[in-house]
Formats: sequence, structure tokens, C-alpha cells
Amino acid sequence: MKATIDPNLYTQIGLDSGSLTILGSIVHSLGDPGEYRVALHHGETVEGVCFITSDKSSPVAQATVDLATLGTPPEQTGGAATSGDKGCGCGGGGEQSSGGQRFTVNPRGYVLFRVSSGAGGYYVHVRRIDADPKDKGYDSRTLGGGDLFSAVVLRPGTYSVYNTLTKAKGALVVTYPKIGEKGHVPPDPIRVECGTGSFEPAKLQIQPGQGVIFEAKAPSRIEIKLEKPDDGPRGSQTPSRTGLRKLTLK
Amino acid sequence: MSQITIAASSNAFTQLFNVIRDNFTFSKSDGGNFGPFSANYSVKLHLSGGSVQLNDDNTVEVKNVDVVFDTLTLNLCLNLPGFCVGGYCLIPDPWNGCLVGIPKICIGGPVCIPIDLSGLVSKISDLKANLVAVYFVDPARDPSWSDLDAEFNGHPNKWRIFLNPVFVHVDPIDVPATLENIIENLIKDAIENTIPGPGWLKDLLIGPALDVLESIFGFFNTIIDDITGFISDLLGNQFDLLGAIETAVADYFAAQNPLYEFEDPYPILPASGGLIPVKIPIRDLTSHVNSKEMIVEANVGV
Repeated sequence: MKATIDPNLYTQIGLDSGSLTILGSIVHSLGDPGEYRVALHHGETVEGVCFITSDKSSPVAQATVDLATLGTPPEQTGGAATSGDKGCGCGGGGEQSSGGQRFTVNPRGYVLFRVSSGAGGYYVHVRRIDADPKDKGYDSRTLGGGDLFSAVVLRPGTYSVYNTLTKAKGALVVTYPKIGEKGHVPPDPIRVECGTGSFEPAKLQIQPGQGVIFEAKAPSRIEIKLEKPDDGPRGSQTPSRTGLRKLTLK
Repeated sequence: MSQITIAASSNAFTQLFNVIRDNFTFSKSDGGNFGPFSANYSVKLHLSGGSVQLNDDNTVEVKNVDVVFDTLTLNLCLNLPGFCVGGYCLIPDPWNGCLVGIPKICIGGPVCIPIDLSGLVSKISDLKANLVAVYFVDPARDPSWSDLDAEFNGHPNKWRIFLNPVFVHVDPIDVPATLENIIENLIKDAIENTIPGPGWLKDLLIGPALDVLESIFGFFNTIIDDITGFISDLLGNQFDLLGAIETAVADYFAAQNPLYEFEDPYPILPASGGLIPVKIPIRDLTSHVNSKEMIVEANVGV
């Protein structure tokens, strides 16, 4: 576990399941066995590809695809430390690239798409290699039934939660951290069901860094937007830290 | 009875000591890892002042010599653990824990606090020594040279009289209490400046920072209010800087810089009128002190 202070952790406020950043991840199950090609999109640009084999004989339940390394030539990355990663050292390249990282997962397992670092802003398009031309495959901008969207919100404040496909609305409050107490440990994540027209629960209150797991029961694209920042007891101008002298440490 | 006896008064002895003392310098850099934190320092110092007392028991006692730290910088680095997000289970396995989990992303990193203590003064509170006479054969002297050749070439043998410390004590580095606020502000500034980002992020990180500070001060079995004591202990004892200074002082006086030296053979008359200089060989040189003077005795002989 290496400590880091990636600026994207605190400069990217808000999340979008259709544009993955460092604090947002998607879980998707491929289902049918076969060879799948994953295209990494940044907007309309394809920045990398990888291949996933959904194999009944595979014991791997989780393949973790780090989109940050997928879009970068391997010599510029530290390597994807992901389970199920065969680590074949493949090029980022574009759609024409013949190479790409390869993963294997059991058809009843799951693929986790995440961004370990950097600005992100990705979505993925997953399609069987031998798919019918009419089969559009899976576009992560539309979460299907059974998909999960894991969101971590750090910045204290009040957020709106919006499903752009079902028009469902919710609210999320991230409380301000208690200053100067013991080291912050985010509580366990909470789960939210994304139904056809609502979130359940629709109103959430969490601590900074606490995860929110959205479970798609209907086609979903979750957007979390900051509506009202909470800058603590002293406002945004002055960090509300207490002096070290006032704290007796025994 | 010795054939040669030379004496130097207590005042003359003090002058001899002062010259050597003023030429003393010591510099050292070191670093170490102390579990919850690491630190490194750089020091350069000289000696000044003090009093010299000759005793009838053939000892010399030097007291209250200032140890002036021309440079004393300390860099204290905390590995701020911060906190981690993620690392939780997304899809539990009802039978075997977690089927799908999300990796942790940790927010933290090293925070270094530069503390400049240059100008601080400590003391050699006590230095007790005796005198030792050592015969010195210049290593640059060619074995085939005569004593005259050696003199002409600037490499004569010598009798040297050293102040041989048997006890040196350097007082702990007294970090003034007035520096406490400055140091605390440095710690705050380091966290403030090293950790980028808005106030709310720092508020999230200050808790872990305090955890680290607690572990550091717990390591030293003290409390955060005693920052100056902590620094003094860190430099003086953990790094054993005081011991290093004491060793350097002892070695400097006992082996490197004699109080006085006599050329051997000793020149009596310089060369003149085509005649070679007149020199007498010195043997069995000893030195000792009483409360009034330093006495050097020797014999003449080949």
C-alpha cells in the first residue's frame, strides 16, 4: 500500500458513471463465455484496448482492469497490479493496435473497471470478438441490470444524485470531518438501488471517503454533482485546523 | 636531575591552550530512521572561551568552553499515513468473504520539517586532562637524511606535548524554549505546504498527522508540548552528537594538535659564516603541571 496525494483526488469534485475518474469504478459481468475486446474511450477517442477471456475453466472471479494503465504505453506505467491480469505487457495503442492487456475471468465472475491515477474521464465499450455486427456490445455509459457503480466522495458538501436515464433524483450529504481527532477511517460503504424511477434510499449522509455502491436495477447513468460545498466551521478562507499545542498527546 | 628544565606560567599555558582551542572545528552530517519518523542533521561548530586551571595533582582542568554551533540544521521527516479510501467489498461471497473488491487508494506521503538551529551554544562543562610527551618522527623524512638534512628540508623530528583529555563532558544542546513556537509553526507549515489541496483535505489529514506525532513523542516518552526537549534529545542522545563532539575534542587535543613542540635536535645557534647550525639532541622529555606552571624536563644526549 503506497501512500499518494494524487491531485485528482481533490480537484475532481463530482462523479459520473459514464466518465470514470479515480474515485469511480464499475463492476460488470460478461456473462457468456468467449473472447471480448475492451475499447477504452476518452470521449470519442479510443485510447487503448484490452482483451478479456470469459472462460468456464477459469477460477478467477474478479478481473480488475485499470483504465489508467490501459491508456498508457506499458513503459510509462508501473504495471497493473490487478487480479486476473496476465501481465502480457501490451501496447496502449488505438483501435488498430494488435496488442492489448489480456485478462481471464470466469463467466460467472465480474470485471472491475477502475482508474488508479490521473484525470480519467473514461468509458469502455466491451464487445465479443465474434459478435454479430448488429450486436453493439456493452457500453459502460449505460449500466445494465446487475452492474455496480462504486463512488467515493471526499469533498464535504451537499450533492445531487441523478440518473440521467431514468431521471431519478437523490441527495447526498458528505459531512465535514471532525478536526484533530484520531486518523480518519471512512466507515463501510452504503448501497443504493437504482430502480426504474427512483433511488433507494434517495437521501444519503456519509462521511468523507465513505463509499457509495449504486446497484443498477434498471438502465442507469449516475451523476453526482456538488450543489453546496461545506468548508467547515470557518468557511473556505481559513483551514479550520486547531493548533498543535492545544492537543495533549499521551 | 634533568639537564634541561623549562617552565611556562599558568597564564602562558592558557595562551597556548587558547591558540589550539581557537583552531578547533568540527563538522558532521548524519541521519537515521526512528520508526515513525526519520531525521537527518548537519552540524559545524567551533570552540570559544572557557577557563583553564592547573592542579597540583598534575592535571589540567578546562571549564565552560562554549561550543558554538555555526551550523546546526535538522530535517525531521514524518511519513504521514493519511487515510485510505476504497478497499471495501463490492460483491460479497455468501460463503467465502468477498467475491469482488475494490482496491484501496491511500492519501498521504512524507512531510519534512526543516529546523535551523544555527547559532545555538552549548558548553564543554568539564574537560580534565594530563600532559603527554610524544616523540614524533616526521613520516615525510627520508630515512637517509641526517638531522641537518631533515631541518633543511623542513621535516625534523620533534618532541610534542599534548593535552591528553581523560574526561570530556559536553552539556546537552539547550534548545531555547522561545524556539518552541517557531518550531511548532514549522511543523504546521510543513503539513500545510507539503500537503497540497484545500482546507477540507488538510482537515482530513491532520488527524493522521497527529497520530504520527503522537507515536513519535510516544517513542521518546514525552509529550508534544516538549518539542525543544525532544529535539535536544534527538540530537544529543539518539544521534549521539554530544558523544561525537566529545570524541572529536579529545582526539583533537590528545593526538592532533600539540600544546607545544620542540625540534630534535634542538637548534642552539643558527648557521652563519659558512658554519652549520649548532643543535643539541633532546632525550627523555617529560612534562607535568602544578597549580602554578607547566614544567618540561629533558636530558641532552645522543
